[in-house]
Formats: sequence, structure tokens, C-alpha cells
Amino acid sequence: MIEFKNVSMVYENNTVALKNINLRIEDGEFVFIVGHSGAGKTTLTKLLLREEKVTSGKLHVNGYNLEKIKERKIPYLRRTMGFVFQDFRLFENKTVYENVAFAMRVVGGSPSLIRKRVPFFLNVVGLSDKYRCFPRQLSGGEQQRVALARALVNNPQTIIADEPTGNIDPELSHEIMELLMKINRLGKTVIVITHDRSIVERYKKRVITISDGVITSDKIGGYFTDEDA
Amino acid sequence: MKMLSTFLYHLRQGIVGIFRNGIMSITSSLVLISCMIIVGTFYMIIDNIDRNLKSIDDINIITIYLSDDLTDEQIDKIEADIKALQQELNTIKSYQRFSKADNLRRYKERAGADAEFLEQYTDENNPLPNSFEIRFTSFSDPNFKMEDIYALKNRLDQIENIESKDIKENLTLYSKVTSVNNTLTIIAIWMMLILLLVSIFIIYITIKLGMHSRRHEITFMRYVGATKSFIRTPFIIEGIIIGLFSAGLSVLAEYYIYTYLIMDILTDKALVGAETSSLITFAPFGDYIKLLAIAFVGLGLFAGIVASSLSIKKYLKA
Ligand SMILES: Nc1ncnc2c1ncn2[C@@H]1O[C@H](COP(=O)(O)OP(=O)(O)OP(=O)(O)O)[C@@H](O)[C@H]1O
Ligand SMILES: [Mg+2]
Repeated sequence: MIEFKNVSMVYENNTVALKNINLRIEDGEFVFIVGHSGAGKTTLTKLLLREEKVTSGKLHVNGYNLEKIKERKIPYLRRTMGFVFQDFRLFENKTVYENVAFAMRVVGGSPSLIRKRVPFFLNVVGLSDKYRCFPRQLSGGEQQRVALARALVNNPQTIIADEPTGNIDPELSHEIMELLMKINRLGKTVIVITHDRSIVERYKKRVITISDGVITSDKIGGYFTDEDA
Repeated sequence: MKMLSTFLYHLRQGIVGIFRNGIMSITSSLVLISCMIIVGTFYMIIDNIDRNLKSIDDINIITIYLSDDLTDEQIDKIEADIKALQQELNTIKSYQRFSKADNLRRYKERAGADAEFLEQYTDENNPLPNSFEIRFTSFSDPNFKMEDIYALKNRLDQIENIESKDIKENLTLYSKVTSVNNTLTIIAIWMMLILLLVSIFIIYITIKLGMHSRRHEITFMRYVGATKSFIRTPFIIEGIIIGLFSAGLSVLAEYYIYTYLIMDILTDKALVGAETSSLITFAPFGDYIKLLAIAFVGLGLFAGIVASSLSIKKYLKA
């Protein structure tokens, strides 16, 4: 469960990125977050990761109170979330398998568990046969699927995808979205940040619109433009 | 099981880290090794000088020569005074009185082959004086203090019928050699500190470069929720390996330096002359190996851990 209560966030250079955000996302929900460039969407995810601290207000994420969290607990907070980025952020010098395994390895996963889980999640994203490829040998869509497998492999409660289809052909974007839906059906909370109007309209899901750091609408279905707000 | 596999993982990462920046790692090691070798060599030289000095038989003796004008009663009085002094000060371990005849006999014994020329001297025309030999606290005694011996000398001087010029001792030799040793010690400590700082700096740069080339991985690790210690450990291990490797090589190098360079050169009769070479005896390297190993490992761990901790510090905000 993720809950923002009157959250505001001001960067050090006095840019007000978020203003008085109130938002509650239940476990197992699927939400889109939309908004123009610079609206504050990425800032929202930085707060979840505790990469940035809220300037005021209360924030609870998957059982952690981010106001009070101790520094040494932050890694464990982050393990409750899996991230996918627009630019994939795979390691070019590692194979598909190694990229996924690395995410497990660095949170202390044992080799035997890694050997079981990595093939399983590569299978979930449909890349079992490509495990020995390097990222440059894959299409954008395939690379994003690797990133998804990597986000899933530590079994987080929440998957957060920041513009997951931004660098992918429209036809293949659909595949990624279907995968995210499938992951949501497995019981995970999925948060998708996107600019892609067609995607949002196609899936009748909860859509949260942010404009200049303020939530201007929170409804099921449809893409709410700034004009609507 | 899990701990072992994690440790092996870190160890492998640490070793990979060393090879990633091979030239820098070698440079770090070389500086650290020169630091250790300088400390070790200085230490062994100083210690050998010290041991040799302390092993000179008559070094902790004050000899008092008496004027031939003194009567036996006057000499008895001097002896009584020395005895009183011995009871008062704990610096006098023992004393011995030698008559003119004793001294002539001792002289003849010591002269050996040259004794012939002494044959002309008998008790009648004995040119040697009466004397006292006062054995004071040994230099190797932990309670030994130079000031105490000078104080003793002063007190002896105050005894009636003892002239300052007739009090002989080797204190100046001892204090000269000791002060040379002290100077060497200071030089060694400064060189060690400077080289240690340089080593720490170079290891710091080495590891910093390694972290820079892995910065994307580190950022990713932080995102996925790797703990700080997990991210840090391979770099610390890298520092430790450089430290231990340098310590090992240094002990080995010291063995060759000590047994083949120092001992051979300083005992080479052609080089330093027969007299000197027979005077100096060297402690076997075995006397030092344990201490050197402990000190070098300590230095190596210290440099490695300090340097790697410093280089990680700034990199690792939550
Ligand atoms: N590190 C930072 N320091 C200062 N200001 C920042 C920082 N990061 C973002 N901002 C500012 O905060 C505001 C919100 O930025 P944010 O990245 O959250 O927008 P966004 O909605 O993700 O935009 P986009 O769709 O382009 O990714 C912007 O005005 C941006 O310039
Ligand atoms: Mg953004």
C-alpha cells in the first residue's frame, strides 16, 4: 500500500515539484500516472524510493513510514519495489541472464536460488531462448522485457515503470503493456508513468493526472489532458 | 552457506577490481612495499646496533684510577664511601678494588703475545695505579636511565681523594651511538609516515577509479536495494588484498635484504676491515620474522582499509 498525505516536495534549488499530494494506491492495483513533461511524475517515484525526501506531509510505502525510516532500512524499502525505465538501463557487458541474475546477486540472493528464479522470470517475459544474448543483440521491446524480468526477480510487491514504452515501437508497446497487465494479475501493484494517450485509453484503468505538481484528476479510464483538468 | 557464497562473491569482485586497474594496483603495492621495507630495514639495523652496543662487556663500568700518593687507609676510606653509595643508590650493581699488582697481572693476561714487553715491569717498578671498577645498571635493564649514571658519576667525584679526571667510563660512546640510533629512528618514522600517506593516497585513487568505472552498477545496486555494506565490501577487500599482498612480498624482500645485503656487506672483511667485521655480530633473521610479519600485515591492513573506506565514503549516500 502506498499513501501520500499532503505531500509537498521542493528541490534544493527551490523548484516546487509536488504540491499537497493526496494519493492512496492499494496492493494489487494498476494505475497510470500521466501529465505533461516536468509535471512531477518522476519526482513522485524518487520519493517512493526515498532517493528524495518529502519536504512536508506523510508518506507510507509498503509498510515503511518514510518520514521515520532509518538509513540502513532504505535498501529493504527499495526491495519492495521493482523499477523499469524508459532507457532500459541494462548492462551492456552482461548477458540477458547475467543482467537479471545481477539484481538478485546484489541483494544477497544465493547462487542456487538465482539458478531457479532467473530462468523462471525470463520465461514469464518470454525470453527463455535469448538468455545468452547481450542487450545490443535485442530489439527495444526485448530489452524492456529483460528489464521487466529483472524488476520482478526479487519478488517485489510493487512494479513501477517510468515511460516503459517511450523508446519502443508502438506495435511492440502493446506487448509490454500486456506483460504489465499479466504481472498485475499475479497480484502485484503496478504503476505506469506514461505520455502515451492511446495506451491509457485502451486499458480502462485508474488514471492519475498530475499538472505542475498537483493532482488534477484521479478517475477510472480515459486520458485527461491538462485542458480537461 | 549463504554467507560463504556472498563472501566468495565479494572476494571475486575484489580480485576483479584489482585487475581492472592493474597498473594502479601495482603502483599502490610498490609504494606500500617500499614503506614497509624502509621501516623494517631501519628497524633491524637499529636493533642490531643496539644489541652490539649492549653486548660490549665493559660498557657498563666506571673505572676510577687512584693517585699513587694515597695511603692504604685513604683507599680503605674511598672503598667505604663507595660501599655507602652502593647502599644509597641502586645504580651500583657491584664494585671491585684492584691493587697496582692486580692491574699489572690483568694487563699481562690481556696482552697475550705482547706480554714480553711487559716483562720488564714488576711490582717494584709497576707503572699502573690502584683502581676501583664500579659496575652499574645494565643498558638493557628497563630501569636504566642515563641521568642516573651521570648522577652516580657526580657522587663518585665528590668522594674525597677521587679526581674528576681519573673517573673513566664509556658513557660517551654509549650516548653517541644511542643518539645516532635515535636519529635513525626519527628518520625511519618520518619516512614511514610519509610513505604510508602516499600509499594510502594511491590506493585511494586506485579504488576511486575502480568505483568510477563501476558507477552505473553502483547506482543500479542502490536502486534495487543492495545494502551499503554489500556495495562497499568488494572495495574494502580490494584494499585489504593490496595490503596483504604488499606485506607478504615485503617480508620476503626483507629476508633477502637482511641476509644477503646487510649481513654480507657489513661482515665483508675486505669492505669494512677485519677488525670491524669481527666486532659486529648480527642477530639471525629468524629473530625478526615474526615481528616484521605482524607489523607489515598491520600496516598493510591499515593502509588498505583506511584508503578504501575513504574512497567509498563520498560515493555512498543512501
Ligand atoms: N534534481 C532536481 N533538482 C531540481 N529540480 C528538479 C530536479 N529533478 C527535477 N526537477 C524539476 O522538478 C520538476 C518535476 O520534474 P520531474 O522529473 O518529476 O517531471 P516529470 O513529470 O517526470 O517530467 P518528464 O515527463 O519530462 O519525465 C521539473 O520542474 C524539474 O525541472
Ligand atoms: Mg520523468
